[in-house]
Amino acid sequence: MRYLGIDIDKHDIRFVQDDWESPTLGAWGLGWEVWLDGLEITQFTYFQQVGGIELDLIPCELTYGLERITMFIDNVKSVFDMEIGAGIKWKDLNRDIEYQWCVYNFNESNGDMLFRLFQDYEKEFYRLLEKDLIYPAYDFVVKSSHIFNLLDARGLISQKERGGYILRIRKMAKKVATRWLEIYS
Amino acid sequence: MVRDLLIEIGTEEIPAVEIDEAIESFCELFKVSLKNNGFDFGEIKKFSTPRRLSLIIYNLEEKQKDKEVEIKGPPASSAIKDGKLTEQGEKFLKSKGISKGDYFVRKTDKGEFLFGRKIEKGLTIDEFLIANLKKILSSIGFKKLMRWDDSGILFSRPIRWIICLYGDRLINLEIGKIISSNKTYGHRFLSKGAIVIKNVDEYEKKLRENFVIPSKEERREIIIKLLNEAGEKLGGRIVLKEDLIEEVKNLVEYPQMVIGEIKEEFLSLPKEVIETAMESHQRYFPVERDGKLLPFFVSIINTIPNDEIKKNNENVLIARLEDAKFYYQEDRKIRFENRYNMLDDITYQEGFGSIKDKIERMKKLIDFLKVKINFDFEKTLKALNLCKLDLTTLMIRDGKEFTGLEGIIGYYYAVENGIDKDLAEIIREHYLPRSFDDELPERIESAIIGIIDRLDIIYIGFLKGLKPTGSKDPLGLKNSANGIISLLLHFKIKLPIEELLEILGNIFKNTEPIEDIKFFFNERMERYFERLGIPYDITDAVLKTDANEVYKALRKAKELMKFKEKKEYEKLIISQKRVSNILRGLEVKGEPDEGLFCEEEEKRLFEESKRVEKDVVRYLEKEEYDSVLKTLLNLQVFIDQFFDKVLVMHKDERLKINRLRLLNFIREIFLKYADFSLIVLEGEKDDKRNNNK
Repeated sequence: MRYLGIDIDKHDIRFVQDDWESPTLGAWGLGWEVWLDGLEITQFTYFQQVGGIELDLIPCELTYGLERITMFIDNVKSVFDMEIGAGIKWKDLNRDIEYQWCVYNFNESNGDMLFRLFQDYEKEFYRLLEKDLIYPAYDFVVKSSHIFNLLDARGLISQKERGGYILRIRKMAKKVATRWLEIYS
Repeated sequence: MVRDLLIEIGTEEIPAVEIDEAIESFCELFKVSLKNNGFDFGEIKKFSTPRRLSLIIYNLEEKQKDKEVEIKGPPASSAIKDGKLTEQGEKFLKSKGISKGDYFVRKTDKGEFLFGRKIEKGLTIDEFLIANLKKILSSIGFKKLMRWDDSGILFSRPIRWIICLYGDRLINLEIGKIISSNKTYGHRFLSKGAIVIKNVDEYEKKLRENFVIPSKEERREIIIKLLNEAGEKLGGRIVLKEDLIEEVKNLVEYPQMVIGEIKEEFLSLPKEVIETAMESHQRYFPVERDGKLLPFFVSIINTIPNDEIKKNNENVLIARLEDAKFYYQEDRKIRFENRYNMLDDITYQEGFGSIKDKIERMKKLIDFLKVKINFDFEKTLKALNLCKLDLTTLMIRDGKEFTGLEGIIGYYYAVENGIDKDLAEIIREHYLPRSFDDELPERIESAIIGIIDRLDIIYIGFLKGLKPTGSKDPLGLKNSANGIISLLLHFKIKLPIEELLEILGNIFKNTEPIEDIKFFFNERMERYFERLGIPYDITDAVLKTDANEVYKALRKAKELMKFKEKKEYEKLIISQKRVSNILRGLEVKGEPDEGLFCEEEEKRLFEESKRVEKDVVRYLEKEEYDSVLKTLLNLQVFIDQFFDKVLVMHKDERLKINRLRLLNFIREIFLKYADFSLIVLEGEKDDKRNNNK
């Protein structure tokens, strides 16, 4: 952060517990939100498990937050006003993209289709795994996870129902990770 | 020689909510370990911050006392021949490091044996620490442990340094890849580089010089003082929320504050929304005057305050409040009552329809209850149509930290739309209690909805095979069941639970889970009562009689607990076990025929029990449970005399049946209170839990 031009001696920087978990991918780790004057600018995680499998080597993940740090440096309140370079702002490049995706994710996505896709992807996963096509199979885990996020964004899955979906995706993640280890380790 | 020992475990930031317990546990483990190893020591001082757990043990001996030990060896017959050690005998002494002359023969229960004698050198404190510190650290009991390198060491967060100083002498030890030293680190940013601690005495002072307040109690005091100052300065007060203060004190090593300001316009948001925005993520403290929020907040920070920090903290909060304001404004575009059909768009449980379907199911149950329980049916029905509407709002659906405000948001939106205040309160209350110690609703209508709501999810959970097992309970059904029990107890509701389950069974066209659910409830009840100090067997006994009237069961159980102190208690239970054993598996119907009594004891027992029965019924009606127990106890003498003198299994079938009827009559009287035969007496080896279920 010093290198980025933030004088850390003049700010309140704190590490506040926030253990990261992707229940769908069976991945978790312990770590923190990193606070800069109360603003969460990044997240730091010591991974412990991936695909439900205990890790021998502990990777550290420093995730997201580039735009938040940039906002800080640019001294702007909105991500849209962040300067990408040469007077061009984030909004000039990304506003329409953000807007259209928001409209799609929150209003226009087709729930029936998504539920159907989820079923199809899940089925396809098991078919591919059976044939040891583990990389394509893994792709369908990620796709299922994405569909779940879309359904979740629309509020089409109730709070109580979420657990069940998460479990189904996690099962796939664990299966493909286990198979990968069997083949490659 | 005695000196003071300093141990500091330097770590990356330990979760704030775990530090208090961790330091207590660390200290206790250390103390016990020292004692068990025979070290004398004085007072122990504890220090804890996010980055360190430290102990100073005053006046600690450097070395355990030497002690003489005797070690048993092989039988004398094989160890000694002709007054000399055999090869085997010598081998033993050598293997134990006993010098040649130090042996003797002693007679034991199992014959004569060779014994060696030696002086066991006391451990030095260095040896003690090397042997024990690792184990102590791994026993601290954090909620979650992690690895950070391949040393196999587990801790809450990575350990980065260890100080181990005895007076001014460094004790060398290794924990994983860390080698102890006399270097500590001060505040992560305000202090620069390593700080050498030359002796134990200067530890605290050096930390203070480097912007670390090492005592958690002191940090707490400082924070409270700062908050009170801020409250006074702003002409209001800060509600000192214990949990928040306890957490915040462990988020900082050097507590300071900034007072932030927000625009007045945000205060039009519901109070809980603003408080949630401040507290739940930011750990800011709201400021109030006369129960109303002021446009200020206090942030406890971990460095020297300046204007930029203040401004940045404000911006973070403003962004959160802007989100809330956006949701709030959008939500108001739709009249609250008009949201009912939107409930159809929210899946409740896959395969079990939408929230709207759920509400329709709940209506059927409430319709059934209206003749069984005393509550305002019309009002409940109206409330039911409203109680889940806030699930369709943006604030709950998308509102991140605000999603936890379900019920509360419904309350505000209902009030704003001119809905009757009482109904609005039911919307808010029907989620209560959210946990074991949470507040309870005021209105029985809220309780009725709350119970039905939870029963529905429990039924579905069991249908889906998601019943709680071990630590797995994805739908939170245990908590749901506990909620139901709390409500039943609080409102003294007589709930025909079996009939309700049957109605659900009919709706779902599957009655399979009913038995499982009844068992689950019984189990929850055992646990719930256990938390109130009642053992499971007593719970089982009273539930046998009052499965539908939990509050009665609880009162009876408490009375039984008091009764347990009495001498006659055991006798009474034994006799009831005997009665129940004799009757087990038999179909005994009807009252005994007095004309068939031949012995004085059976006649007397019947007369007495008829009298007792009347009293029992009368006292039960008056809910005077201690009197019931006293009355039942009066019967004991006659039961004993009966068993002493009368043969139940008489060869004359008519006499036998008559006597069984008499016993059954008595059992029925006792059963009006509880099934005493289920109570486990001390010394009863068999596991009743398994026998009964």
